[in-house]
Amino acid sequence: MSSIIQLHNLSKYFSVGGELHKAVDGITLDIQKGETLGIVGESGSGKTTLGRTLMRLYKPDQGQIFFEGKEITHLPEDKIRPLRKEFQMVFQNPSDSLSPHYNVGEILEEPLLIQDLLTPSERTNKAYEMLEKVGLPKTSYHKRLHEFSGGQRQRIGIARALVLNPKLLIADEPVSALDVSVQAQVLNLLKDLQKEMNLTCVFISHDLNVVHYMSDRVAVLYLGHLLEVAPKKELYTNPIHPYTKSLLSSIPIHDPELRNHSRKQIVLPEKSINPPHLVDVGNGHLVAADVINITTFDTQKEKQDISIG
Amino acid sequence: MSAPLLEIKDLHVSFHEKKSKITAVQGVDLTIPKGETVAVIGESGSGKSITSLSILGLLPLSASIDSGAILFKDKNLLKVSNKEMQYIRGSEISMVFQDAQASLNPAMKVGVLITEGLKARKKLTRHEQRSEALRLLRMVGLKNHVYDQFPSQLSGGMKQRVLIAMALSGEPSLLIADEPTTSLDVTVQSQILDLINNYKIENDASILLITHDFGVVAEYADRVYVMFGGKVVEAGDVYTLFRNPIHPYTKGLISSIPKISDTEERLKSVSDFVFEEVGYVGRRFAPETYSIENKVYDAPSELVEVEPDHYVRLFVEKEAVGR
Repeated sequence: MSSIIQLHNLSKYFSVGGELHKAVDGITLDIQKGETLGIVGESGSGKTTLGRTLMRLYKPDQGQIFFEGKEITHLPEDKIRPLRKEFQMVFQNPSDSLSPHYNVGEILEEPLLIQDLLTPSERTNKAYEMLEKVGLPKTSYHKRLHEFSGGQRQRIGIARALVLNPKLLIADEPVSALDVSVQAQVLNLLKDLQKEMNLTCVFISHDLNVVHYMSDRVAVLYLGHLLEVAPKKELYTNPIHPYTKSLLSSIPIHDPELRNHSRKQIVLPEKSINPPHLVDVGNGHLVAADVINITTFDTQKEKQDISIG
Repeated sequence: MSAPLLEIKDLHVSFHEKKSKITAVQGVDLTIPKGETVAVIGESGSGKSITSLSILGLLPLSASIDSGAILFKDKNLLKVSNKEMQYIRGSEISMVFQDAQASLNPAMKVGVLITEGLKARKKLTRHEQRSEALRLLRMVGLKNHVYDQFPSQLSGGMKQRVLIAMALSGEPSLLIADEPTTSLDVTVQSQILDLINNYKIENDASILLITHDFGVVAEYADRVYVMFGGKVVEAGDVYTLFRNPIHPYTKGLISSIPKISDTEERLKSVSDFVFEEVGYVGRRFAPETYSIENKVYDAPSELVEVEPDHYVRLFVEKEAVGR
């Protein structure tokens, strides 16, 4: 497998009241073609900033971004625009991110117009095709956003993101604003479309259950730092970083018989000054080195012996 | 089940807009026993919040209670005077809302916010007020300096703690928590719910927990009411309900949440269990029929006890339709 996106030491800082706030701080990460990478973290962990920076919606302050091996870190806007059709984004709240003044057809055709693709009638056909793909009736074309429910609006948001046939889709909390029953439908839709269109997905969410359902690999962010990244099963069954452990143990268990499960003490580590150095512990599992006693550590065979401190 | 602290009987609430009437709550019966946590679970439009707002007379102006009774300590809360209700709010029953940001006056310091409620209820000197407020802050796990801070200086979890401190300042025997952790992170969520749970245990108080999250229900509730379209469709003690969910909507809600223990490749959604033939507004507020597995059912009016302490609104089969 090859990477579609490579991040090297990526940082994005904001200035808050004269102070420098390191929203994303020194993140090195590869996104493989065809995988779904889940990004979890609490509010303030930098997961949204990371998603937006790797799309170049924000200008990175440090580090490098490679898209299919080509550096895009400092490309000027007119050079980045043609690339935008390769990576698209689905936002949390479609009511905020889609225009209420346009009808659905216009919303879906706008990206094609910006990219100067297809003729007007082809664009219309494409819009109808996308409506069908996301399971909305053809009559939606002439309607406006307020005529739809939350779940339907998010389907429109997904249709718009996919109308350019992108290679990479970044979904930032796409179901957080939806009711659970609708949530399931939208998640299933995203999964189906990913398979059908051979998409690479970055799925950003605070909901560890949803991320588990959607992802192949999961990255844990905390205060702008990447603390741990591993294949889904590995991360959920064998978390190493104490923060990951406490995050996982605070998920409610859907069985009242197990309600007295020992919930681990919640560990909120201090933010380290420098970005942590990640160590590969095998099975594609990387974890921040400051929690591993490297001297007693033998990569493949004695994972249990990792001392945490 | 211990003695009931609060009983809602056959509550009907409707909204009036430009001559049209929309029924939001249709004949809800609900019992909150002393010292227990009762969860009401449902989605937007199920009537769960309207039911809880009815208890304290906090309904929006466009809503009216058509019939029913809410019995609390031998009083019908729908009949008490405004003055009496004012006393009950905070001292007997208090409420924590979902959006702490919107519930805290941004122009007042935390200390003022908390002592404001104390002043209204007890005659205390300024010094006593302050030390009582500090005790409350400590109880919800906040440090003393928060007393002199404005809400804007606090994180979401801290704001929710301040709100809980305010709600608990009158030592209520019933705390209504309407989605108290929905906008919070998971680590903070478990802390806040533990806090509420500890208050319940230490004071033998009751909690009415309004939520859409079956995980939260499984962890904290003693009894569960599942609401759909303004009606209770299933109710029972939490163990029974999780062991043996019967109503298709309950089953749908439980299975539509992704769980880490799941190995299923695909999520089932509620519509796999329930499909409503009626339109959008109808679906939200007053379904007259359901269709399950291509059969249409009338929405019946009665809850039936299917096993001890487990009630389900059963379905009358109407006729099979193709879909």
